[in-house]
Amino acid sequence: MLKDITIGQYIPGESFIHRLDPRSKIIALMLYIIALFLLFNAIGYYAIVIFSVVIILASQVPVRIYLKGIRPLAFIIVLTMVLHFFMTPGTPIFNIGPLKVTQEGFYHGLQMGARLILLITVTSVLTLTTSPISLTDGIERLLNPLKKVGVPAHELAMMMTIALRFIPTLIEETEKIMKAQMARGADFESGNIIKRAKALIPLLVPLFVSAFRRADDLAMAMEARCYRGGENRTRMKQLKYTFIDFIAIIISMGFLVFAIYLRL
Amino acid sequence: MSIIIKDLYHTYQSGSPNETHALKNINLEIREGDFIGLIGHTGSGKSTLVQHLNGLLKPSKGEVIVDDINISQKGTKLTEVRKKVGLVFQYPEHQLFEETVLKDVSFGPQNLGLSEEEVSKRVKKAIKMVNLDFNKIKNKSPFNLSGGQKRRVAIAGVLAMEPKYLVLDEPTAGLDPQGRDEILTQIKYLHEQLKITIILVSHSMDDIAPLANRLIVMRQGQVEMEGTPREVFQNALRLKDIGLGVPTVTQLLYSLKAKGLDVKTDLLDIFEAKDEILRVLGKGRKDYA
Repeated sequence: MLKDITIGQYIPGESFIHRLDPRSKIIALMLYIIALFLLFNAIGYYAIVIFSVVIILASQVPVRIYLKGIRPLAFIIVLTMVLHFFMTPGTPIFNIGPLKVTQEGFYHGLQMGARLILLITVTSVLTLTTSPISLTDGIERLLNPLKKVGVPAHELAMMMTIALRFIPTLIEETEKIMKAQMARGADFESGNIIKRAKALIPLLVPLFVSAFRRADDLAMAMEARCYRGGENRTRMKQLKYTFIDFIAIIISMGFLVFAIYLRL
Repeated sequence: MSIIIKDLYHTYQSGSPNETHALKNINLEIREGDFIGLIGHTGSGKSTLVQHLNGLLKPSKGEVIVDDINISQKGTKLTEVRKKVGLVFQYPEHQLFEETVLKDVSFGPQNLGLSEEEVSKRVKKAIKMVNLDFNKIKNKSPFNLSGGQKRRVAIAGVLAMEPKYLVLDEPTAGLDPQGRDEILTQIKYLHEQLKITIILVSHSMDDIAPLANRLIVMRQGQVEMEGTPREVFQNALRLKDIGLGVPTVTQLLYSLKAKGLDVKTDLLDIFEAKDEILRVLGKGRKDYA
């Protein structure tokens, strides 16, 4: 059950998108998101859906995995769409009791739904095709100029790397402690909300204790290897832009320009 | 009454590319009063097997029947099974969570819905069973105890449910020699004096050999050997092949025999071995004893 969580999941591969520099993927994604929120008419949406499908196919990650990523958020997406259907004032199409669905609402709802789905899937293209380490590496390098104004770019990146690294470990730990408490007769599955929340205490306390213990151990291990933060730190794998990065950024720039053009 | 395991299979992540067959065709009977040593390498399926004994895992195929209760049958009350079969996990001290030892040990019996009186009676008894001083320890925080004490408190937490069968998964892992001996002595006491059926999981032959009356050797999800320790250790070579070996004492006797000393090789503890070696060497020289 807990094993289904896909945050930070990385599917190794050799596709065009896998081989891009993480920095260009992050930049391209930002350009894409701006474009996505600029678009407002049908032509724009057709274009971006086609564009997104091409990206998704180019990533060579099974489509099934993208769908799995949308599933946990399906409720929010549907809720957003339904609220838009009913709450937007305008010309009514039909009524359900006192509620009326307006033409504008219908349109807005579809738009919001499409936006959310595209946002989630294309963002997962980034996380699915980039290993967490190179992703944080890319973020760090992009934030580098901000170091001058006091943004602790290296520390932020290190924190992200460690957090991602420990997700599976903590999941495993949670399952172990759950089982140990179930063996002592704990019941995590029945009762009302308050009873269930209370039942989590025997799970959360040991989990926190072990998380702190792990953090201590890790800090000690890092210090023992002379880790001192980002100052003058060199790296084994230097990030390098190549020709394909150039192409990727040009394409996403082009798409943004197209979105702005539609808006004018 | 007994625990019966019939044609048990367990597969993790069935149908996915990561499918692993953790248990294959296990058939066992654990009778009341047994002291079973379950031995195998990391990944041999020991931990998966013991989690079936109280219904934490369900068989992919086959049956597990605890005193006539089939754990995979619909409508089975798993609390009934967990009352009968106490399971102490590896590093059980990681499950401690309450402010005081008293409250922590009470967690199990409280979950069984017992009366307050009964709970406190059982808690007192359980803490005594693991050889801790109830009055001294009851109001301490379990997080401030030593490693060995923590583990004993955690074991008390399971004992307080008064299980008929007690499964201990590597109870001595990570303890110093003294802590290890204390825990093992305690387990022996639980079996001999309180008549609790014990299933002790370990990969240390030295720990298990002098205690168990039956050994089950697991390998790659299957039962490789089964029998009394003496029977099992007769296959020293095969055990070595699996990477388990025989207890140090038995090893010593084998080596002596290979060097031409005519000793028996089916002895399990160090005292028996001493007598045997003295018998062969000095023929009754008392000054060694």
